[in-house]
Amino acid sequence: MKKDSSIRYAIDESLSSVRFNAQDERSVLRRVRAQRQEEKPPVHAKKRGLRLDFAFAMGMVLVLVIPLTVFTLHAGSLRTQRIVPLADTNPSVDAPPVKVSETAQPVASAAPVSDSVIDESAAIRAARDCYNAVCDTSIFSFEEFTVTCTLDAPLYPAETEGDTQYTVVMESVYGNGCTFEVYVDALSGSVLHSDPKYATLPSISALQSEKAQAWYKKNGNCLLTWQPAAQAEFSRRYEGATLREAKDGEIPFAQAAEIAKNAAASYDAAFCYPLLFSERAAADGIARYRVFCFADEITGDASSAQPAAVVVLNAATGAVESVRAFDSESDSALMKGWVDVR
Amino acid sequence: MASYTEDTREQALTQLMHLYGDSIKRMCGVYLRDTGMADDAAQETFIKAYDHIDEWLDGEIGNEKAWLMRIAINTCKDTLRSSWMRHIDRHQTIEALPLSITPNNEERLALTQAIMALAPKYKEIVLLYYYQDLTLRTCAQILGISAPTATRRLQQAQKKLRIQLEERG
Repeated sequence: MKKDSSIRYAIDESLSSVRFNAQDERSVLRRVRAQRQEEKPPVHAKKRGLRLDFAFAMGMVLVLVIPLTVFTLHAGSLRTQRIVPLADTNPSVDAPPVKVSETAQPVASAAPVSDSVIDESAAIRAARDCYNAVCDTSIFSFEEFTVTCTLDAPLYPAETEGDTQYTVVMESVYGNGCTFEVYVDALSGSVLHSDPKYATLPSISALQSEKAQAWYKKNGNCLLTWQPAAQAEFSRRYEGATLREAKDGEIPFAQAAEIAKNAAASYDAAFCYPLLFSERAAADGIARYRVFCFADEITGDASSAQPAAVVVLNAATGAVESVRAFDSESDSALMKGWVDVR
Repeated sequence: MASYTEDTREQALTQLMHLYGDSIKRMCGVYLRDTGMADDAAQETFIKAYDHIDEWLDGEIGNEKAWLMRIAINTCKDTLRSSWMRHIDRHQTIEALPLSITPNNEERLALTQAIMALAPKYKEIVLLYYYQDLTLRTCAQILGISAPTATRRLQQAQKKLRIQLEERG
């Protein structure tokens, strides 16, 4: 069989805009580093009560490590990494914004320049301010992330020669893959950040995590039968906050079920289970109930339960927008609260 | 086994990303038909490769390309197997993908689209054999099938491609 190269040319040409670019490379290297840090003993977990030790360590960092690090980083031969315990280093909410020293001098020689390099807590404070400014804090707060701060040498010397930066990697405590990275220039304090949507967008495998599966074990395998608060919290953690509870002024779950039951009477709907899809789950930004109506009550192992009809209601007004037969192809995912919010 | 510094390992990984990053990402794009997932899968491939980077540096991995392609294909398969994918069809329609269209490459575009439309088991053998230019024996090893099965599968894939291209005119 003679090998034809037309397929190779076709794919390369058709997907010429698809490149594994420098951003991808950085992302891989950062994840590799974060992974490496996770494999090390979790020294940060034991330190909360030892304030004297921490102060001593910070003193040592200021007096010895930073000047030495700056010197050796400049020589391109040393990198320091440290997992920063959240409670020890997080500033209070009303902490003032990072002040950039006007006297900061570029690292141009082996002379000590520690005064001009911001410390880790300032870098984390900058990351926190950045997170609060650009990410949707109504879904996750800064405290719901573990924070790793790394003082790093330039990854691509040709691109950022002379820069020394902190990489602050935030990873969700729920193990859902939500992540936010902030790069803080160690001299100027200026900030670059990753795409904020990944801070609130769980990864595809989030639902397979042990933590997510524990919710099913606790509440049953059919989301429809869960309490609204449990639905909303699970969705917030693992599904991208596509579901929520009813707010003041919106019709409550029980009323939504009643309206849907009447609307779907022609489908012999006897038992209706509402899910309230948040503004985030709709292209037009309007929160709606999707009520799944069954002829029989859901009991026991409900994985095979199939509704007769789906009723869509406006959450604010209770107006019925549609009543239709359940379509297993398109509605199965919705029944679990899953909407692609990418 | 020699002990390597983290810098050496990262340099090795960067070298692999420079060499194979584009082709792996494009292969994942064709396999998954979703540019966002292709990003994730390509990155995941190199993160998994890093776990065995010492073996590669030691020369224990003979064919590095085959090794990376095996990881990439398995990562794509895992993505398709995930529960999310089983319930939500995140495949973009072929027409919606950001393919480069110039007046001269309509034929090639049609060929790419025809490959994307193949079932995964045919798509993977086509991608490995034609796009990654691996031998049929290596493709069989990567996919965990016998060489005769790989040959038969490739022939069937060619047949399906021909039919699709004829239908598309």
